[in-house]
Amino acid sequence: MATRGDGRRGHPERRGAPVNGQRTDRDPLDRLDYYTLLGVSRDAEVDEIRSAFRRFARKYHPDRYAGASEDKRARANAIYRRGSEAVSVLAEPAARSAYDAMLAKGTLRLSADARERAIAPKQVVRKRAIPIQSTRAKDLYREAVECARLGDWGGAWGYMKEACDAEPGNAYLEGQLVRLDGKLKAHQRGR
Amino acid sequence: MSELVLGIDLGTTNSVVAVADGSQARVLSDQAGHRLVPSVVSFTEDGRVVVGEEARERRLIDATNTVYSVKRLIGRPFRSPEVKRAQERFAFELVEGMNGGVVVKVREETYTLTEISAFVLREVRRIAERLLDQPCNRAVITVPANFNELQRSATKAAGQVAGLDVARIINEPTAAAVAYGCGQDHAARVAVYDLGGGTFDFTLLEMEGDVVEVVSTAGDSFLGGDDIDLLVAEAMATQFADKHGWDPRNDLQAFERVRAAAEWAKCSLWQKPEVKLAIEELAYDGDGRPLDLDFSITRDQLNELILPTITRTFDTIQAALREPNLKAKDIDTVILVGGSTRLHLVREMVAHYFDAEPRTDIDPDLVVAHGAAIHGYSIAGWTDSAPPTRLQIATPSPEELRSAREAEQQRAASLPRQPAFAPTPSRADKAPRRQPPTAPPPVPDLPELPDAIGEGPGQLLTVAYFDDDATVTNTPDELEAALAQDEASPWRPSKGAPPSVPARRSGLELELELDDAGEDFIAIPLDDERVAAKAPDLRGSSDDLLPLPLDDDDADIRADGPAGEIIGRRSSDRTFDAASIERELERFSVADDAATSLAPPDELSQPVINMGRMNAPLLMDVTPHSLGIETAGGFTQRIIGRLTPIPVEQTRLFTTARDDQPTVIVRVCQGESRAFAENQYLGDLELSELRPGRRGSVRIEVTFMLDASGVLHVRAVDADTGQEQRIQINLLGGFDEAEVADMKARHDQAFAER
Repeated sequence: MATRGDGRRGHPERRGAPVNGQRTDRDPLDRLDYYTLLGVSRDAEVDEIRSAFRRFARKYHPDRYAGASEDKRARANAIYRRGSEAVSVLAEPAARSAYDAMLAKGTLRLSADARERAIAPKQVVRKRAIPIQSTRAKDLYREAVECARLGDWGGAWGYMKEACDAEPGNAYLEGQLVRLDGKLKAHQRGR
Repeated sequence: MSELVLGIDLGTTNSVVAVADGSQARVLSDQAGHRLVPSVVSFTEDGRVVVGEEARERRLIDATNTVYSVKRLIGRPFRSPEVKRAQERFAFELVEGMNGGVVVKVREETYTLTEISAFVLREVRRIAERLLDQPCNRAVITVPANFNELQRSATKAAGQVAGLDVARIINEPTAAAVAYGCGQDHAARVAVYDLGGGTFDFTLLEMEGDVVEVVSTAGDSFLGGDDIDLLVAEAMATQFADKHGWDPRNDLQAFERVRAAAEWAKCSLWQKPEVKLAIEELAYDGDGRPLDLDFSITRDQLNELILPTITRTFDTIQAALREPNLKAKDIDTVILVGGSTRLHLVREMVAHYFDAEPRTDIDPDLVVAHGAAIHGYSIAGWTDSAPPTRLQIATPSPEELRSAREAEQQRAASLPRQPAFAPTPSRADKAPRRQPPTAPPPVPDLPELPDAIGEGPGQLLTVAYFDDDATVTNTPDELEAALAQDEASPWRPSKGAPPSVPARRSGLELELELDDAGEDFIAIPLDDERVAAKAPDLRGSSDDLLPLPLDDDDADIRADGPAGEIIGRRSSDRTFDAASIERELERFSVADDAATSLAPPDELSQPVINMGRMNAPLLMDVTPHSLGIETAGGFTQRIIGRLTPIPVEQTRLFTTARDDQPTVIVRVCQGESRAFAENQYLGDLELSELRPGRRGSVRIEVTFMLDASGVLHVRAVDADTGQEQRIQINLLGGFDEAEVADMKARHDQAFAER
C-alpha cells in the first residue's frame, strides 16, 4: 500500500481535513476553469472536448488508483467528478454558452441549477404551444405523434381521428388529420 | 488491502462466477461441472434452503416454494405494474414489504428479494471458495445497464447480505465489452445487444486504446427469455385446453411444468428445426386416467410467435441511437450477450439491421462474468508491492464429478417425466452461425428515426410537450418533423457536427496546448501541495501520479498494429480470436483431461479468456437515467442528467419555507419526464435538526453524488456556517445498515444449517 509522499509539506489534518477527497481551503481544483481542467482551448469542438475527457479519464479515473491509499483514491474521485461536471457542461452547447458568460465574469463553475436553466429555455423555444384543450385529446394527439414518428401512419391516423372526436371542432386537429390522411394514402399506394 | 475480487453475473435465469489473475479470466464450475448456476432458491419442507440446479428442478414439484426470476422484481416498488404482472404469472407468493418493497412468502416465512438474491450469491461464492481454496470476500456484481438506483442499491445490499464486499456494481453490456477486450489504437464504436432472461439492454460504447467509454444506453427491463418461454407455454396450454377441456393455467404447479417444458423447447430449437415433447401425467380426466401433453413446434412457428417481442428490442435500439445521433451503419461491431441471443430470429434480425454479422465468439452466457472478473482484477488494488498471485484453480476430481452426477440422476428419477429447462449446450451443437437465409428473414419494417427530432442539443425533451407558457416559435412541431422526415431521405445528416470518431492527438500537441494555457496547476496534484509537472503525461508516470499497477506492459498495446479486426485484435501475440481461445483450451486441457469423460457437455464451452498481458481496460461508465428532485407544482428538476459520466456529483441549495422549520423533505426520482409523477420515485431525503431561523435564511447545500457503481450518496452542509448537516436517504423498498445486518445474520444462520 502506498504511503504518503515524502515531499509533502504539512499534513492534511492541519490544513483542514479533506472532506470526501475535497480540500476545504484553496483547493487547486477550485482554481481551474472547465477548459483548463480538461486541457482544451476555449473554442474546442465538442468532439475535441469528449476526446480530452477521455484523456483526462485515463489519468484521473479513480479505478486507476485502485491500489493507492485511501487519500489518493478520494482525491482522484474528487478530480474525476469535477471532470464529469466539466464535460457535461462543455459538451452541451446551451450550458456551455451559459458557462462562458459566467466564466467571463470570473466564475469557474456552473451550478446544476444554472445548467438546467440554460438547457430548459432551449427546450421551451423548441416547443410550440399546440392548441388543444382537453387532456384526452392531448393524450391521443401524443399517441398519434408517437405513431407518426415510428412511421406507423395507420396508427397515427387512428389516434388523430380519436383526438378529433374527443375535441370536436378543433381546426388544428382536423388539419393534422387531413395531412395524415394524405400521408396514409400515399403510403398505401407506395406498397 | 488488496484482495481477490470475484466477477459475478447475477442473472435472471442463471448466475455465473469468474475470476481473473492478470493472465486469464476463468469461469468457475460447481462440483458437477456446471458453469451456469440457476438463480433459483427453493425452500424445502424440512427447512432446507436449496440453491441452483437442485432448486430449479423443484420448480416441477414444489412451485409455490421455489423462487426464481427475482431479478425482474428486485428494487421495484410493490405497487408497480411490473410486480402486478409478475404476481399473475409466478407460482410463489409476493406480498408488500414494510417500506413499499416486495417480499416473497414461502413456508410461512417472508424473505426480501435482496435475501433471495443473496442466497444465489452465497452459492456462487461457495463455488469459488471451494475451487480457489481461499476466502472470497469481494466481488464485482453486474446489473442490466438500465437498472435504476433502487435496483442497484438492492443488488448491492444482496451482496452485503451474502457477506460480500461489493467492490463495484457494473453494467452487463460494459462487462461484455471489457471481456471482448480492446486495445487497438484506432477508435471503434461497439454496440452490445444484451437479451437475457428478463431484461433487454442495448448499449453503445466507444473503445479507444485501453479505454471503454459508454456513449449511450437504453433498455427494456421487462423483456427477456422468460417472456418467450411464456409465449410458448401459453401456446402449449391453449392446445391442451382445446384437446382435453382443462386449462393448465388454472393450476400453478401444472403450468409451471408447462413453462419448464416450453423453455426446453425454445432452447432445443437453437439446434433443431423442429422439436416434439411430451409432458406425462399433466392432469387427470374424470375417470382418473392420466392425460399427457404432446406438443411439437417448428423453428418457424417459434419465430412467428416471438417476432413481436423481438421487434420491441429494435424500438429500444433506436432510442439508444437517437441521443448520440447515430445510425445503424455507424456501428463497427455488434456483440451479442445473454442466452436469448442464441435465438436464430435474434441473430438474423440483428445482422439484418446492422448489416453485419454480430460477434458471438465468447459464449454469450459467460461473457459478462468474464468481463466482471477482468474488471474485478483491475480494481482489486494490486500494486507492484502487492502483486496478484497466480490462481490455483482446482478441478473437480473424477470421483467428485461422478458422485455429483449420480446425485443428479437420483434426483431426476423422482421428478415428473418431461423435458425441462435449457438443455446444456455442447460445443458440437453450439448455436450455429447464421445461415444465409434462403428466404428474406422476417424482419418487420423498422422505422428509421426522424432526424429533425433528435437533432441538436436539448433533444431530451419528450415528444409533443404541452406547456401552458410555452412560447410559440417557428420550429416545426414533432408531427411536422415526422411528416417532413418521411419525405426526405431517412438519416439525412444532421445539422450538428457529424458524429465522427474523435481523432487521437499526439502527445506533442497536448504538451503544446498545455504550455499555452500556462497555468501552474494543470495537473492536479494528488498529493497535498505538490504541483505536478506542467504537462501531464498520458501514461501517468509523472512523480505525482501513482505507478499504475496494470501498466507494466503498455508498450504492447501502444505498438502500432495493422488496423485489423475491429476489436479483439491487439498487437501483442495474445489475441482474443477464436483460434487462440482454442489454443488456450488445449493448454488447459491437461487439468481438464481427467474430467472430460464425465463432464457434462457445458464443460466443453470455453471457460478461459486469456487476458494476455493486457492492461485491463479502463471503464468510463455513465448513469442511465437522470436524477431529479420534485419542485412546486409536481415538476422535476434535473440534478444529474442522463448519460453523465460517473462518478459525478452536483450540489444544490435548499432553503426553509417557514420560520424555524426543523426539517426539509426532498423527494427524489429518476427518469426523463418533466412531470415528477411520470418518473420512477426513488424515495426522499430528510434534512433534519436544522438550526432555527427565519424562513429562507437557513440555506443548506446538498451534494448528490453517484459513485462509480451508480449508487446515490448525499451529504449536506449549512451554506452559512459550513457545518455538516444531518441528512438521510429513505429509498423506497431500501434498507438501512441495521436491516442489512439483520438480514445477514439470519442468512448466515440459514446457510450454516445447509
